[in-house]
Amino acid sequence: MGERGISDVLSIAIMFLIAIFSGVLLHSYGASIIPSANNGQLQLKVEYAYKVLELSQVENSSLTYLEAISENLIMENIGEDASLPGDYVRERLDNVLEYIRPPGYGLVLEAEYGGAEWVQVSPPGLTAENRNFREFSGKVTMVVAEAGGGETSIIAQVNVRLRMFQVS
Amino acid sequence: MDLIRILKAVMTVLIIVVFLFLLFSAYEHYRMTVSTAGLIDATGAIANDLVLNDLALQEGGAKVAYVIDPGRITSLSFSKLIASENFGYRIRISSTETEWSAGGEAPEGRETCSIVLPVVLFENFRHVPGKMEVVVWRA
Repeated sequence: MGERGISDVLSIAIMFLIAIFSGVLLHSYGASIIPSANNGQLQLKVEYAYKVLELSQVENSSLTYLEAISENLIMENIGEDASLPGDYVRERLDNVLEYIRPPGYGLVLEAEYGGAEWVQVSPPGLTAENRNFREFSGKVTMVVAEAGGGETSIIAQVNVRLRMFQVS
Repeated sequence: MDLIRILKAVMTVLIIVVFLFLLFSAYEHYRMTVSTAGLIDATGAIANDLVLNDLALQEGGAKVAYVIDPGRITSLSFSKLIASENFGYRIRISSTETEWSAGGEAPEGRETCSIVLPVVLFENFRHVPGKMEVVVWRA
């Protein structure tokens, strides 16, 4: 009778545990749905931040921010001066990146052409290593007329990447 | 012995009731999760559609992608149909100097979702950085 009593208690306890465990599993089903939707929104934000840099114009200039950066990199490559000095563009870009970055997130802008690089982080001073990113990248194509003092024009493509990360 | 049998039967029924309750609770939780995710997705879709279509700057009869003409905010209907569901929204566009806002308020107690996107504004004949906030609810 004692053994039957123990087996009864055991079977009921196991049934109870299975019921609780299955309840936990059922509640965790679909746990990734909302994070997935939030990720979609974050991807949209980084894409739109890139478009702002691609299409909005630098103060007192008709060049867009990405065009100004690209021109600086291309001119650095051929040893000539850009129409907008790099320091001026960097300062303006600091303000724009600070304005467009979502609260709680940082932005890293990277541009590269022919070995020359442009890296800018907002907020400044923050290191962007070892972080999870969402990114959007593209190319800026520029035609530089009479490059290097010659009569030919060069068509240059600058690779640009904008990455967004969570600031801890 | 009879008492033990009765007790076993009661415990078994109790466990079944607990399981059914957990099942119902999990279903309600899943339904709410899907509904919330749907609202989040709809918010992104509406904001995207506003930038690319309803508020897009018109130049020479063509839309300029990703550039907003804030003046067109007055022509919005503040209602969108997405996947057979009606959504209401209100919008606020701001640059460093000016702000435009329009649209109604969500009914009290209604779940809302908002998104703030960096956008390009056509202001004073220049393309300048700005922000657009869209708040969406199920109509």
